[in-house]
Amino acid sequence: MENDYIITTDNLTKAYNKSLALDRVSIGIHKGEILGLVGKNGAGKTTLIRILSGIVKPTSGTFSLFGDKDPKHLPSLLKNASCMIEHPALYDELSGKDNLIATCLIKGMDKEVKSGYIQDRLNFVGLGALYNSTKKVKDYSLGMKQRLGIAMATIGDPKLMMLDEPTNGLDPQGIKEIRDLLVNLNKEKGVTILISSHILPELSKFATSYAFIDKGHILKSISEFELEKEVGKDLMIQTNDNAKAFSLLSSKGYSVTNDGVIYIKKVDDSAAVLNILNTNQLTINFFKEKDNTLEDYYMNLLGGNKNV
Amino acid sequence: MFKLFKSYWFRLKRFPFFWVAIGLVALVAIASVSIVTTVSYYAYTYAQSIGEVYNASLSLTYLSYQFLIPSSLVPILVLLIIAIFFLRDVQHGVYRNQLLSGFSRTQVYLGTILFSYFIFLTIFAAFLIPFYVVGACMPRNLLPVSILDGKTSSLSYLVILITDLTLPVILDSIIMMTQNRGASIGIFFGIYFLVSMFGLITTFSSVYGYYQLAEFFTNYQISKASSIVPNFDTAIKIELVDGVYQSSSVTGRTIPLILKTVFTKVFYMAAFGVVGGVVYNRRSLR
Repeated sequence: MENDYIITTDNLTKAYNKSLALDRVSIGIHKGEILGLVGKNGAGKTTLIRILSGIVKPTSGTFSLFGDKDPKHLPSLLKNASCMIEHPALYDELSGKDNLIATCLIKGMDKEVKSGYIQDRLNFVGLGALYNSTKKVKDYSLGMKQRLGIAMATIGDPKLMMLDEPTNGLDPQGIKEIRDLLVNLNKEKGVTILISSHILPELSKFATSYAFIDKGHILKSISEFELEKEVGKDLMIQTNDNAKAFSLLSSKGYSVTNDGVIYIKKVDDSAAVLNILNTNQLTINFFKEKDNTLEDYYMNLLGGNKNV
Repeated sequence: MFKLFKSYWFRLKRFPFFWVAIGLVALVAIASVSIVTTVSYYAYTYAQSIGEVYNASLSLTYLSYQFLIPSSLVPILVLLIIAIFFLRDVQHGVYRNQLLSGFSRTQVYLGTILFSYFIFLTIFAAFLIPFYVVGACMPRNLLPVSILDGKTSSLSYLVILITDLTLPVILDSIIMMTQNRGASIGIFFGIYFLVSMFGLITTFSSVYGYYQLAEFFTNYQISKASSIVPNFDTAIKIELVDGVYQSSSVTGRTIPLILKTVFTKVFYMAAFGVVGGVVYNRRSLR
């Protein structure tokens, strides 16, 4: 397992003047993983991706890409990676098609330019109709630019994609399409993805692991399965004797409040709760399950701090 | 590096100002060579017809001016193209595409400078070729023959070529160091202004023979190119005599222009090139 890390960071630190944008960050991303980087504005998500893509140099600490730690090898290692940071780096004065051609030429993919590769990439992100258009990128909508940025990021079949807020500016349909694209790349081509997003419900639909970051610190790294286990669900129950139900469940170690309705937090097994109430001859008048979300988990980690 | 160039060229071809610049210098070259040759020819013919010796309009001095003055448009346009072309890349953060395509920062930096040279040479060729071709077609083939045969001019063109190649390196290095459009333009013109001031100060306060900085300026190059004895300079000598500054005009032989120019320009190119490369390698990018 140790060898299949695509990215590892070891006490990665970045200081700007006296403030720390990243503070001894150590994480690992396995091959084939989709790691969601979760944090509020200024938490250090973009800085981390910038360092990993060689745009920003760390103040201290090291990182490895594809198992190689040598900074001198970074340019050649990045040939197998692609990146989109904050906004896609596009040539505004060119058309979408020309942007893709320019990217192909930099990557030495001259043959692909002449084949149907460009059309294929545009189709892939739902911009196929723009193949013959001379419309310049500066006249594209934000969503179209995001899609084009993702198309550029897929050129050359990268093994690793680092995406910072890739769904910014997209409508709900666009968000779903981009999610499907990324899941396809991950499932079919085994692309490892590091993605930061503010849209936590969206992220929770496809990330296979998470790293929560705040003020430059990694608060927690957790897999999808561990997260499901930890967040559990909350139950709301009303019985013919709430006081008795409250004391029973409290004595069994559940986190319970009684405010006219019994509220039980983080329940792994709802059936077990119902069983306790039934065996004690309590009649259930009202029962509701509420799944906890990634957002709830993140809020709890931050101690109820909002502004994600 | 070749891949980088291919991508740059692909984009430059779609950059309208590049073609406008090529058209403009070609037009200026054709216009200037046509007017000068025609005027010179008729002046010469008229002088002959009235039995006078009239060589002024055919002298090397006069003809060199006709080449040098319009050719000074070339570096201005080149600097404008470089400023717009590369500063746009900086502004949009697209340099990161090159880094993410496997190029090291050194390669990206050198690629920028070399491609600037390519832009310069292309624009220069767009001036030179029509100038000579049209000149050769004009009456008596006066201009090309005069310039090619001139003893001072071929050296002067080399001086100008080296000077013109220095400016893009300075601008490129500032762009790559600052990664900021406003700062790049401000610093470039700031340096140009300081060098101008320094050049003026050193020109007026030194004993003859120290004109290195003045060589950046077209007027000085033209005066040298058109001079019969190009290694002679005149300067104001300022001396403190009995507690009073006294100035006098002195004339003397300077270090050969070509040596001074090559040394000065290569020094500037190397200094800005190396400092720019080191800073670009170390700094965080957009």
